[in-house]
Amino acid sequence: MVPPLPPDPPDDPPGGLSDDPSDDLSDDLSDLAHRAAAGDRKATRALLVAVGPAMLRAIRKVLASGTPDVEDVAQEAMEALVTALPRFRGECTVLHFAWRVAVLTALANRRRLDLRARWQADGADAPAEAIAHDPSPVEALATRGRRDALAMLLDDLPGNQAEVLVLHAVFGLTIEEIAGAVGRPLETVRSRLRLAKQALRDRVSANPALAEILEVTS
Amino acid sequence: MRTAGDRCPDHLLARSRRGPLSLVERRALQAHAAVCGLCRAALALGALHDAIPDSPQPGDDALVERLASQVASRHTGGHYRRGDRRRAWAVAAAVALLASAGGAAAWVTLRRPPPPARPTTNSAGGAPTAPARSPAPGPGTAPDPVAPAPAAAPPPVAAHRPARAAVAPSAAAASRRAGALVPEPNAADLFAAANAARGARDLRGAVTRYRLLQARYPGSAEARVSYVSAGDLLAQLAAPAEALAQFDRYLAPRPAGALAPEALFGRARSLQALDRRADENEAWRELLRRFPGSIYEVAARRRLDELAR
Repeated sequence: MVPPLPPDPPDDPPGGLSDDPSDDLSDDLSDLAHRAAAGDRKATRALLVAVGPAMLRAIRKVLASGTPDVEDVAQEAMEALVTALPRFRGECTVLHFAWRVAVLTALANRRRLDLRARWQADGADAPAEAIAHDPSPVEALATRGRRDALAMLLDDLPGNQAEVLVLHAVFGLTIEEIAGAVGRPLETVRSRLRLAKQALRDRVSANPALAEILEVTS
Repeated sequence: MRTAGDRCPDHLLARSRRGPLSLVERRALQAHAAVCGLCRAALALGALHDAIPDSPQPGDDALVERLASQVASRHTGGHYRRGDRRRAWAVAAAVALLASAGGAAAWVTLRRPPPPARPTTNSAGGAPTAPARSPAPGPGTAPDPVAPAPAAAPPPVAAHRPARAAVAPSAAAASRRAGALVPEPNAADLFAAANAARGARDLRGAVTRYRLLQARYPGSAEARVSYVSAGDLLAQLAAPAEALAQFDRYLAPRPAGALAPEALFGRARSLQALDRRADENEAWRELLRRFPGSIYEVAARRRLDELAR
């Protein structure tokens, strides 16, 4: 089955930012980003308040919703964003940049912490927070299954391949943009992406449960 | 030689994630995906990600405000407030270290049967038995501000007997000899209790439990992780010498352990807090040399620049 293409999304990071008031702040965010990069504390704080909710939600997509580590990872991601701002060259919107930093930070934490076990444990523990915010227990289970599937798919990849794949297939960065973002030659990025996609396909082919989840969601 | 992946319209796939494609482009991508398993998998991954809800949760705004204030204060003005300084200590390392402890706790959870309905407590916290073997103190060990002591015994540890083989023989034997009705907590119990205390922001209580774990089950996987976790907490408690000793205890037998980057980072920050500049300089360089590209690279280079001035 061929997955249908995503419905024409708004021009912002995938993940539901269209109802976010920060969407209207793209110009202001750019200005804030420049001032923050220059060390303006108020601008830094304002920028983080503007992009923070999106970062938080992005992190929760990667980590389990109920994990207490979300706050720590969010703080780490904000730190990483502020640290990276001087190197931000405007290859995407500030919001997109922040969102990317958040997801990559969460992914880095996941890999380092061998969080596959954590995912499974989360499932067993059924975080009350996650359930409370899902429409129904059935949907909560489905959400957890999707999170597990996403984690399983990404955790199996080498870090540099997972990064390239997420930047491309989730963030929508072109190979040229990824090369600029990660500071690697085009051919290296192209190779990593190809290997990641092959590994992803093989993984899905070998796991009927994963294939079913992907088919349902796509 | 061109492979299948090289013929994929990656630019179209990327753009489909960022905005609407034209009708022609959509049809082109769909036609390609129909015959390309690689792009079908990539499209499905994006759809899977989108299908995970990310709605805001109560308290998000307050959390973002608080974190934004902390991070902004730390990154601007060139100085730390006391509270920020402690927090700064934790930022990179704590995320990894504390969370890794949590991860390991989850790992532990996987291997234990459900706790019994009888929520008994054991005497481990209040009357711990003699450690089977105490780890040798590392260099720079100073009087322990949070050493476990009878007067400051850790709260009770939930007493369920995990099906783990990590229990030190001596401890298990002691338990059998005592004929205790309540099983003695094993490494997993102590580790979970320490993590729970950490989660409740009871830093001293967490350190106490980590140390109890280290003393009772020095060879366990939980104890190995706990050196890094406890080191970070001790740093937050403004006890850099004790923190340094913990990091050293992790690194000495496992210089390339999974948490070595975190331990090296914590070690360097401990030396910084102790104002041992030459050692600190070498610690940062070692971190960069052994783990280039780690998440601590920026912090390491920044600090080395400061030291060079």
